[in-house]
Amino acid sequence: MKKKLFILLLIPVSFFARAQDAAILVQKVKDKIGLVNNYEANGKMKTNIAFLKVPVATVKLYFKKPDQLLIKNEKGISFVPKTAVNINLNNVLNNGKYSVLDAGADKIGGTVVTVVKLLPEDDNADVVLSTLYIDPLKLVVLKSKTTTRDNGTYELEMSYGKYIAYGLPDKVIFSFNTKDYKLPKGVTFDFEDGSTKKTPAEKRNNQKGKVEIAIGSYTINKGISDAVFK
Amino acid sequence: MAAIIQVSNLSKQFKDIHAVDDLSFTVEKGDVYGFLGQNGAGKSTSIRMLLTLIKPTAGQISIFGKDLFTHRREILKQVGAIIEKPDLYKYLSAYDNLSIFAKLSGLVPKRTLLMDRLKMVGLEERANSKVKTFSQGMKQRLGIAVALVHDPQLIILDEPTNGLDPQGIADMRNLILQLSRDMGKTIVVSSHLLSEIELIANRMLIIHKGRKIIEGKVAELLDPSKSLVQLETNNNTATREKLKQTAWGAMLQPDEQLLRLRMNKEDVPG
Amino acid sequence: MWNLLQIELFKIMRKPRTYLAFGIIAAFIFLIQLGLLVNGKDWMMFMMGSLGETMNIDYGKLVNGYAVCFFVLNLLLVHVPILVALVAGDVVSGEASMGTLRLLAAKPVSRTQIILAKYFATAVYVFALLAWIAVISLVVSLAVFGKNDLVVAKTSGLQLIESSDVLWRYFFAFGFAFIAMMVVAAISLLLSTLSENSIGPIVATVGIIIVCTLISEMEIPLYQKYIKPYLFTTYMLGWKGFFYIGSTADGETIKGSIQYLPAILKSVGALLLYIVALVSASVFIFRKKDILS
Repeated sequence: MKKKLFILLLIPVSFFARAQDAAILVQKVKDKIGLVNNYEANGKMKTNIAFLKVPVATVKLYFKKPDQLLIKNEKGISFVPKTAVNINLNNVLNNGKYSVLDAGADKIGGTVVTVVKLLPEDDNADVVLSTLYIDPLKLVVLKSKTTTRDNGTYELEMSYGKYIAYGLPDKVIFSFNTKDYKLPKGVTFDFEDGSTKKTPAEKRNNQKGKVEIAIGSYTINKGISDAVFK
Repeated sequence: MAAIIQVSNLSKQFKDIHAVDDLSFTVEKGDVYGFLGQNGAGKSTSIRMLLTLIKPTAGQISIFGKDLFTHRREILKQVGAIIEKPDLYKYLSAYDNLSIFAKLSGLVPKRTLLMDRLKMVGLEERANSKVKTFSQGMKQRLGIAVALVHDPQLIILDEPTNGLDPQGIADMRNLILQLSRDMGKTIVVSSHLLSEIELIANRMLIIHKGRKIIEGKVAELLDPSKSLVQLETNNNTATREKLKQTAWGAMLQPDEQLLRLRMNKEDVPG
Repeated sequence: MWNLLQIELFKIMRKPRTYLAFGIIAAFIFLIQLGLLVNGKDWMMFMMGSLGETMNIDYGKLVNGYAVCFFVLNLLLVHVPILVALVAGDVVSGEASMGTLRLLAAKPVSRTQIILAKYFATAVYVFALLAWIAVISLVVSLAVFGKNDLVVAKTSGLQLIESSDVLWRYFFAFGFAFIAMMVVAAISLLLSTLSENSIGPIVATVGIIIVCTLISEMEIPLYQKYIKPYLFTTYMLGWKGFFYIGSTADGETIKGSIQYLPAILKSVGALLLYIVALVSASVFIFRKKDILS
């Protein structure tokens, strides 16, 4: 009986202890990311959105603390989802006050990760819930999932290499919700081959989009002018 | 004399209209051959058949001794024509018009030749003027230059005096006589005015409703002391045979179906 | 034949209406270019629609020479048939009404050659017209608006063609447009051999194109199934096919590819068949025709 009572008492204690551990883990990740004040990076961006057919684009990424991030196609044209600024974790981790909840452990590609949920304290914040999958040993986020009020759910998957010391990924896969593109009425007659069947409009309305950026090199903390983001 | 044009049993039917009906005639070398008839008699249709513009329904045409439709290009190289109004490319100059038709006739036209032809019709000063600025008479003269540019052996003129003023008509007449007399050309000329044909042609054919009325030497046909009498009988062939037995036989015209007698005016029965 | 072709070309070149078409085209394209120079970004924002809410788009780059040319062709190529008909509808009937046809046909040249020479001369005119469009809409646009990737809007979405992958597509698109316009020229030629005034064939050609386009575009199953496949207008928009780039399963474009190549080739085949049939019919009719004008 006593033993049972002890266990009952122990549950909330361990729960709080684990929540505290999670908060510490998040803080450690934040500290690591915090080492980077700004960077400029070269990458290749692959876009996978149903209504958008584009080639792999050579892009430059510019970041400046606290939350400025720009993905730019220096030469040609690229369509960059506005929510893609969130590929920078600063924007997830420094986005107002939140409480940290431990959601246990999981596995991503053979790596054991700690799952952490961030609940914003501001009820009116756009972000409703963020879930982070953190590698507790290397102190990097491998995956994150954010649910927002206005911009749907987006997901980040990251893999690390040379720049792991700064918490900067070599590859980011950004998944997001997108609405379909509609050609303005009366603009053009299409050329069809006659075999393509038209998908009903409602089926195409809410779709998942995916942007994959492979980053070759970073130039870290060498300073970046604000003018770049203008 | 060699036959330049030999037409036999030529017919053209447009739907239910017989524009030309069983027409035969011969044009000899050096003739100025008059083609006389009212408007709509079938003159233009016949002339257009001579120029391959209209395909005959039946009959043969041979020109220079060759079948027109099998030797078309060869024959047309030696033919010059004015067909009704002398319509030319209005937006082109006189010189360019002449040059185009010379090329179409198989010539490689030299400037001197073209200018020479324009000079002949009195248009050398206007060589570079656009045809749309020309008077009817000037167009007609240019039309003649076009018809003669490749020095053809046979010249076919369909109503060449239409729309011309008296001076223009006189000039045209002189030109035709000159071409015939001085250059030995064979000329076919159509008109609805007997007075015109009378002045220029040595032989003529009168056509009415697509059929030949008479063909012969102008001097004979128009001899003021003679009249032509046409008889209508129940049986023309039998009557013809009977007439041959009498003194009238000498006056019989060598006509296929019609029964005609050429006689002195005072002999015509009242 | 070469001689005849030269003569026909000479006649077309000297006709004032020939230059009318060139003037109209130049004026039209300059107006579009001016408009886009001033309001190009607004136009692109309109084209991208709600996409601008969820995507960062560099509208300035979108308005480039290739895009301007594409826009011009979209608007213009629908109307070029009228300009083609203006000249092609006149080649035989114009001479009939002017009175020169009887002189021409009484010359030692075959009627088949006359028709073919007229058609080839029209081809040269159409080629010059398209070259003129190419120079003004492409070369001038590139000089004024610069070069960049081309974004093509389709009903099903957008696709981006890298700037290095665009030029050859224009080359082929103009080639295709040439074949399509030669069908129009062949229709005009046929009508021209049947008529003795030049307005009739021009108006009739334009009328035929309008009716066929309407039937082609009507979504009525009966027409779609039994009539549309046989209308030449169904195949006339094929030039656009060169700007529909192929892509992998996950939406990555394949440089140098064409999405519906077999469909384009089918269109070319259909249009060539039309040309052969219509020109043969013109020759047949003209050879049989009694010239009464």
